[in-house]
Amino acid sequence: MMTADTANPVLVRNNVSVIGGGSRTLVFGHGFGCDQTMWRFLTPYFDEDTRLVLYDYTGCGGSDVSQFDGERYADLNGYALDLIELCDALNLESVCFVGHSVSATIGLLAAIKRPDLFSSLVFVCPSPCFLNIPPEYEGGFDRADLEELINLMDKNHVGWANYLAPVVMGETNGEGMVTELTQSFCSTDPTFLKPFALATFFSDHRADFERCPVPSLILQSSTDALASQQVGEYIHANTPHSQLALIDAIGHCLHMTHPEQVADEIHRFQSKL
Amino acid sequence: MPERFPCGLIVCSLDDRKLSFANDYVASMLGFSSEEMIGQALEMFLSKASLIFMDSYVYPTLLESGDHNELQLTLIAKDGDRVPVLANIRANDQGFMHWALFSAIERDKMYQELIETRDQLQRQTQKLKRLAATDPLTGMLNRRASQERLIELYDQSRRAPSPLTLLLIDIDHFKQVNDRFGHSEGDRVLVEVALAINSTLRSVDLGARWGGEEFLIVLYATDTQGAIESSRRIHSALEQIRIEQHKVSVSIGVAKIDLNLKEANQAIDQAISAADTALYRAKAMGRNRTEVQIVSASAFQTGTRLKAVEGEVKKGA
Repeated sequence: MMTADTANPVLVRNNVSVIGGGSRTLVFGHGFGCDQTMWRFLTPYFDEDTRLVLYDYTGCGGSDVSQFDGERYADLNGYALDLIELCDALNLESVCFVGHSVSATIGLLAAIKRPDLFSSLVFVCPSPCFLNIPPEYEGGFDRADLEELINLMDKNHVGWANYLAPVVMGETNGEGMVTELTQSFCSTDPTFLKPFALATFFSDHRADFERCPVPSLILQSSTDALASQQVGEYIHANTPHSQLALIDAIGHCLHMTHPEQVADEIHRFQSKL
Repeated sequence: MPERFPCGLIVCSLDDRKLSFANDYVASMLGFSSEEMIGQALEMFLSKASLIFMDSYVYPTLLESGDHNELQLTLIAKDGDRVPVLANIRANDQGFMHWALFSAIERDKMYQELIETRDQLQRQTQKLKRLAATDPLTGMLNRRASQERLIELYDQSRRAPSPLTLLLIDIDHFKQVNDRFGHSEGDRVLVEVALAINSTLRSVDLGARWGGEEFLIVLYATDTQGAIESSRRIHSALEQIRIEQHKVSVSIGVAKIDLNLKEANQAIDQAISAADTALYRAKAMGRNRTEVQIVSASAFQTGTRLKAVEGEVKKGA
């Protein structure tokens, strides 16, 4: 894996990695609570003439958290701007974007704003809105559930190692240990995770899917507590030029649990474009 | 043997997440028998919030690193009660998760208190910050806070880049208002003028009480021409304000802030003295008007008048 040109501040900010070369480019956006390392199960299924671009949203994983701006990241458009800016920094155009969960929505928002950057979108376990909006829409969760989630995140942050690490180890221990701890898999500083949670779980982007400017593939898990089959079908019905592929699986992380099937579906989708 | 440990133990498949083992401790914690729990999906015993947390954070971490410690979750008992627990989880190569669960009722209360204390401290800090930044009479930013905010605006404008202009506004004949009508009437006029000025500003602009009867306005992404428009609006916004039958008016000095200087403080000081010069000229030219001072890149050219804007009202009291 090569790390992209460190001179460009956007590439540093979003910890952008580029794997391979070639004319086709896939850009992968991680979901809430995670970072780009979640794609490592899937990336081996793409050959060397496909260029793979991975990144962390500002505030997540190995991104430069000093660039986190509360106002910008108060809603998903701020995260979509990260994606747009890094595509511009790499001079990308007409890429296929693969977004997991909330990143599906983020990719969609970026494509609406900058259709030139994207040729197609792959939504892995997407949800346009996690809230139930009776009577017409069932996102799966009531406001109280999502408020409890924020509270639960708070409670876990109180105990999380990465929150306490700098305190426990003290300043004298040098930064090495702390950095290693906080950069472990999918670690995210609670300061930045909470705004991301608020932007993710309390937003309603159903109307945006109707404006999707490019063909899309929805990869739906057959049993997904976060994004039910019904939600996937809703997106399919309301998104122009969309295809739905149902994968027999349990859980919300198809790209980690069923990477081969996910890769097959992406290949099939791409070959027909 | 597992029955003797004072903690809940669960074995659950990573694949379909169905329980293959639950000890009596966890079963009685939730009001089930262990037979009732075995074969059920883990989801059945988790609150919806815990489920999201599992799926978006815990489960990916487990798949990657194989373990998760000190995780606080909420379980749902048979009767619907919520049971806070602390969990350590291990995933193995055979496709199973082993859970050790500890009741966390007291810990949960303590954490709840910590969170509430933290939130309260945050609210208090915000309130104190607001109080420390505000002029108590007019509710506008005070001088110190406006200086800090101005430096932020300066840096922001340099990055953008977009023009930044500064207005110094002084109420005409204010001393006479205080002398003739008393200080409480003077205060009322200050408040009304502040409200009128504020009504012309956008959320991105800065409005501050700079001193006695003097106000500072900084207009974001606005050039000199835009600032002249703004001062017209300010002059006319004041038209309704009266002291008995007398109209209230202001004089305004405008200066553009030089964004080519690296030092924000230097550029700000320079623009303020330029605006002050323009304000002085507006006063000398009969008050109730706006004067503009042009600042050159390094030193300012004194007395360069770009444009004068006359207010329509007569002199105040």
